[in-house]
Formats: sequence, C-alpha cells, structure tokens
Amino acid sequence: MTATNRGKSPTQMAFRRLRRNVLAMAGAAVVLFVILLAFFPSMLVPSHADGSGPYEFRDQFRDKDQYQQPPGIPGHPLGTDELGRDVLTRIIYGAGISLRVGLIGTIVALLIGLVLGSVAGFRGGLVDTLISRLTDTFFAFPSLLLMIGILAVFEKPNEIVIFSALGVVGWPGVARIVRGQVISLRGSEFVLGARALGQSDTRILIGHVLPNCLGPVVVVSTLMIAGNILAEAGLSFLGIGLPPPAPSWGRMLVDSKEYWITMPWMGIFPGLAIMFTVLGFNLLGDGLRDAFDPKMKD
Amino acid sequence: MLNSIIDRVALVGAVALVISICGCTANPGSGEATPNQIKSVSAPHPDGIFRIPLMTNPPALDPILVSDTTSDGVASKIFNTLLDYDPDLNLEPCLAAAMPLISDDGLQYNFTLREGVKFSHGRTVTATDFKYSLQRLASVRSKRSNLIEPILGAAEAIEAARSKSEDAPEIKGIEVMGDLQLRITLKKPYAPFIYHLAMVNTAVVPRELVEEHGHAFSRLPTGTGAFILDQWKEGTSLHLKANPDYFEGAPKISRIHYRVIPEPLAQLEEYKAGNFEILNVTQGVYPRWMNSNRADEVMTWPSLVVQYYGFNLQKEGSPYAGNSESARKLREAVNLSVDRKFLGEVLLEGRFYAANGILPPGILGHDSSRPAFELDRERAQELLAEAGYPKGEGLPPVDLWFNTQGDNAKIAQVVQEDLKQAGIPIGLRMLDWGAFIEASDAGEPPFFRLGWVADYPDPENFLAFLFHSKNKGPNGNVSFYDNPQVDALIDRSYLITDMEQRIDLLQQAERLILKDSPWLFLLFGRETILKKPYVQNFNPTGMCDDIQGNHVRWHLVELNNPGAQ
Repeated sequence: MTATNRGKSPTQMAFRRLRRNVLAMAGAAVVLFVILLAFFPSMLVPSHADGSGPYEFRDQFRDKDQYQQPPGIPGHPLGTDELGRDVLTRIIYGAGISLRVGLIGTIVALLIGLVLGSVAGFRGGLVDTLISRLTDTFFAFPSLLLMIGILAVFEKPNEIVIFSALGVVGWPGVARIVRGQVISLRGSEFVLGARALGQSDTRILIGHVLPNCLGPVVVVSTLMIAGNILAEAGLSFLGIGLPPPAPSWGRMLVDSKEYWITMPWMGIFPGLAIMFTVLGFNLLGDGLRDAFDPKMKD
Repeated sequence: MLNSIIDRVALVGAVALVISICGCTANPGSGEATPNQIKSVSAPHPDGIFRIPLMTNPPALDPILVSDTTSDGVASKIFNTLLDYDPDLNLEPCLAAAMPLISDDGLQYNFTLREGVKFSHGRTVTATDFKYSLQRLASVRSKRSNLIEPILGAAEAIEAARSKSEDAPEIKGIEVMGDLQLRITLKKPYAPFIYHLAMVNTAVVPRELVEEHGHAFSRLPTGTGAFILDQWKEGTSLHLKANPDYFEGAPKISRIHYRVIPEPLAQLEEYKAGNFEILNVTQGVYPRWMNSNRADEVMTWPSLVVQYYGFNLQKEGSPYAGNSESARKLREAVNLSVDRKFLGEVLLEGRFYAANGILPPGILGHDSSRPAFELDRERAQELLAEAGYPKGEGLPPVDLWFNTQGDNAKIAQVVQEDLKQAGIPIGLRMLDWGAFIEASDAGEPPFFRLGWVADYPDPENFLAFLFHSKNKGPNGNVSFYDNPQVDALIDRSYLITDMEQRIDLLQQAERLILKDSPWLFLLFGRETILKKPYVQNFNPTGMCDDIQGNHVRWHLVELNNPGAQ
C-alpha cells in the first residue's frame, strides 16, 4: 500500500478515492450530462421535433384536440405541455437555466458564508458576536420578503440579479456551519502545531482549517443547488422570477400544477429532471467529501 | 444517432412512468373510451344540509365591509336589500313592497317597505333602520362609501365622518316619511343609483345590535335574510341555519355548511365523495365531466365579465399610444392578429369565449348582432403596412404586463405567439397582483392585462368606469382613454331615466370606443360549476354568482331524495 502511494500528492490520492466511489461517479455523470445539456441544447433536441426551440409552439397547436399530447407520440417523446410545446425540448433548454440558478446562487452564498463564518469562528470574541448576530438577523428575516425587497430595487431584474438574490438569502446557513466547524477545529492539535511552526492566522485558516470544514460545506452546497432550483420556481410563481415563456424547470413544475390529473407528464418530467440533477449533485458532493476528508484512509 | 437514442430511452422511461402512475390512481384517466366513468356519490345529507366549499375564510360579514365575492356570498344569505335581481337580471322589489316611484326630474326615489319583515332577533324592520343602514356607509370603516355618494348631502357626511370619525353621520338626502316610507334624494340625476340598492352593502341592519357589538358585528351578523349565522370557526367552517320566519317563507333546506378547503383538487375529491352539493370547476374538470356519465352535473351560464389587454394611450415611447391614425391602425392590427377562438374554446376549455365588444351578454345594451372578433391576418398585415410598419419591420417591442393569477400567463404566451406570427413583437412581464395594480394605476405599463366584472348589469358600469376621461387611472380607465364624444354621450345618459334612450346613447359610445381600439378586446366569460342532480331550484344569475349563488333565491332551493325520482 505505502509503495503505491509514494510520490502522489494528497489531491491525487483524493481523486483516486473519488474515482473508486461508484455512486459518486454516477453523480458526476449526471452532473456532466446536465452541463452538456446546458451548453449544447440544440445538439440534443430530437431532430424530428421541428427544431424551433423551447419557446415556440408546434404545428399541432391549432389542432383542437391534438395540441396537448401524451408522452410517446413521435416527435414528442415526453409529450407536449398545456400550450402544445414539446416537453423534452423545454427540459433540455431549461437545463441551462437550472444549472445557472443552482450554481450562481450557491456560489454567492458560499462566498459570503465562508468568509463571514470562518472569520467569526476563528477570531471569536466581539467579531464572532457581531457576525453571529448578523447571521441570526438574516435567519430571522423571512427570506422570501428579503428576496422581494432585493428584487424590487431593480427596475427589471435580469437572470444574474435574480439568481444572486438567492445567494444573498442563502448565506447564513453556510456561515453558521462553517463557524461551528472552525470553532471545533480551532483548538485541535494540527492547528496548534501549525501555530507552533509560526504560521500566520490567514495561512492556518486557509491552509489547515478550511480544508477540514469542506465536508459539511460541500454537502450543504449540493443541497443548496437543489433548493435554489426549486426556489426559482417559487419566485416565478410570485412573478419575480424569470418571466414566461422561459423554460425553467421550476416554472414548468408550477405550470403543471393544475394539469396533474389530466396531463401528469407536464409535471413528472421536469420533476424528474430536478430530482436527478439534485441527486447527481448530492452524490457527487458526498463523494467529494469522502475523498477529501483527511481522516479517510485508502 | 444520438438523437434517436435519446428518443428511445425517453420513450421507454415515459411509458413506464405513465403506466406506473395510472396503476396507482383509483380512476385511470385514459379518456379514450367514451363516456368516462366518474364515481360521484349522489345522496343528499339526511338532515337536509347544503354543503358548499370555500377557498378562503370570508374576511368580513358586516355589509359595509364586504368587498370580496366570498363575503358577499355569505352575507347575501344573512341580509336583504331594498331591491334584488330576478334570474334574468331585472331589478325587482325585495324588502321594498314595490319598485320605487321616481320623480320626473330623476332626483327623488320614494320607497314603500314591505310590511311585517322582521330581523332574525325578532324586531320589525322600519324605514328608520334603512336610513341608519345607508348612513353607516359613510362611516370611516366603510369600504363602499362610493355607493351613497350620489345622495344629497352624502359627500358632506363622508367628509364629516372622516374628520370626526362618526359612525353614522346624518345624511339629509335620506328621509323617513313614515314607518314604512323612505325617500332618497340625489344631488343630481344618476340613473344607475338604483342598482346600488341591490348590492349587499346597502342591506338593512339592526341598529341596537350594531351598537352593542361594535366592530364584532362583522363576526356576529344579524339581518333579515333566509339564513342565520349559527357557528363560525374562522378559517375552518361556517354554519348557517334556516330562518323559519323569513318573510318570503321558511327555507326548504335546514342549514348551509361552508367548509374552507384551499386546494381545488381536494375540493373535487370531497365533491365526488358526496360531501359537497356544489363545486366550482377548475382546469381539466369541465371537459372530463362533460364527456362522462356525470355530464348532467355540469351547469354553466354566462357571467358578466370581460377580459382585455389595454393599451396605455398616454405612454410615451409606445408606438400604440396616442390618437394618431397610425397608432390606431397598429392597435386594430393587434386586434385582428389574435385567435380568440382557440383561447376560449380550446385553451380555456370553453370557460371563456371570443368577445364581440365591451359589453358582455346579460348587460343591458349588449349587441348580439355584432360578430365576435376574429383572426384576420391579411387585413392585419394591410393595417401594419399602412401604419408604417410593413410586416412589423421596425416596430419596437413593448412589454405586456400581467399578474400571476389564474390563466393569465397561459393566455399571455399564446397571444405573444399569435402576435409574433404577425410580426408584432411583445415581451412578457409578470408581477404579483399588488405590484401590478399599483403600476397600472400609475400608468406605468404600456400594455397590460385586466378584466372587469359587473357591479350591476348596466352598460354605464363598464363604459363610464373604463373609458370616461374623468376616471383615468385608479378609478378604472387604466388605458387613459380620452374621447370627448364618448364623455359627452355618457354624461348625457345620466340625465335620462328612460331606459331605451339611455341604452341607445351608451351603445353609441361603445361603437365609438370600438373604432378607436384602445384595448385588445379578448374574451367574455362563462361560469361553470358541478352540482349534484338532486339539488333543485338553484337558479343563478350572471351577476358574480358562482357556487355561492349570491343572487339565488335560497329559500326555494331544495334537496330531492334521488330515490324518489
């Protein structure tokens, strides 16, 4: 064992562990697939759907009884929605939106949460008190109201603004977890060791403490990606998300609500798309945590 | 290659899923074999209780506070007004013994009250009670003080109430001429005033109980109506019991039980299980039931509503604004580019249908000879070219603003697509109701979605509120339409009490407005409900009646034993 590990960096070892984790690799495959859809939607839209994009209606639109099609009809493998649009096409085009909403929101939340949480946990004292109370304030404030407030400032909020607003609302969760982790690691032997070697606070924080908090943070982030995808649906519902006819998965789900007796496929497939994407991120996140956990051995 | 693989995988997945879903539903909704078999229990409650679902708790039952249809539906069973509507929407006397005698100058309304009408706590109703009840509408808490504004001295009373917060300030235009004699004098002739006296807000209330309960009267309402409030668990249920001494005769049903269920699908299941007598129909239910063994439970009638997309005629930078011939032609081109038939009959499942103007059927003066608006792409293209935008080239996009409710987003997307095919670009902007109505009252959106539901079945209620220049903005004319000819016709109609002449003037006004196309005229509506076959004499009017039957003669409604049929 020791012989094979010679000459490999911890990162290389971590990726080795990740590659061996079947579930994590499955998750990675799903995430990769969604990324592929997001970047090259037009490549993957079935050729015999008329290729007019996710916003347009099909020829059947004017055909009274035919425009709402169940799955399995040639050209509409997942059926059409209430306006006669191909569900598969919309899901594929929606992947980009969902990926962006998940990632941008989460990255913003991570940036704010990591910085504030680690400073609070590492410094302690008055700094900790101030940051913790700020976190509590954000927690106590109804997030939806806050989001509406943020978005109301903008005349016509674009995608980036809407998605960042999700991050601004989501950071306290990250901050609290990071703070807890940092406090528990602050007094551990390897930190004392680093300090004894004369390393600066910043170096200790970034080099030793933060990597050890990565596990929970990764798990929270993957869950947050999922939460953000769903939150976008809620925002659309209130009229402050992406306006129709943008094919976001959340919006498709919202639109399907009143049709779930007559056209269940309208909700099932976007729902599955969200479920698999979220699952993919979660599995990958779990795998990453295990792989990068310094306590894990080969 | 990749495409076909995706197709195949998706297909297999889809089929498997649909099979598994149908498998776990009790009632597979395949719909192929007609008619559908729907299980719907059809047995009345053994105690003769009429059960109605509510989406929300009624906010207030004090007549002067009622401003929503849920409260209106409950309050109209507890209270009575001087006049009411028959099923054809003609006014007829209710607590009045006969229709009022109106003086020749159109100013004085002389009422004789029905004799021996009693409040449910036993006291006899007199003209003094009406004076008090109408004066209460002037109070600060009142949400409908506009209803008494045409009365002589009312404006001053409303002002006095505001400054001194009096509860029922004296209004000199309301006079008690005897125990059963009431005279109402108007400031100036205003023919539609008579309709105000059929709105639940003007119902008679007993002064001693209002003063005893104060603000709690809204929770403990007492009136003259066919039903009496028995028990109210806010947000859960509301029970009414029959008033055995009701002046038109004791109701045939013993009680009305309301239950609050906010989820339409849950309501549907309860209806099918036989726990409700009646149900409002939502998306997907109507065609399914029409095509089933239970088609006889579907009941539908026209409602007094018009849906439209208004152009803001004073919006700077909008090519559709202004009185120029080119803007007018653009607006007409938009009107000719939308397939309303598809919207109404297909997308909205027949719950709406193409409008032929502003006044829906049921409103006096509705012109049934005028054809409904139709799709005419060729004429639309001609108009576009004449307006200076051949095939829509160079036409700047404007945003259509609408609120999140109901079918709005669906309709907007179809209209957007229709207009796009004509070369007319529009963007969509969706807001919640509060933000939307604030913005449109302020004249912000260049193009917006609104509807109008009649307060009373008179053309004045549509034309004056929506198009008279004095009502620009929050009062209803959100298009900021301004046509002196139309204003003059409406103003003249107020001075005339002869119905035929009035209607003729208002019809002329409607035709002038149609020519100017300040709206994209869209749809008229139908009310659609499910009703158990054993329910008899439920005869709704188009006036904001749904399952609540706000103007239904509830003392006549019966539950027949289906075994006896």
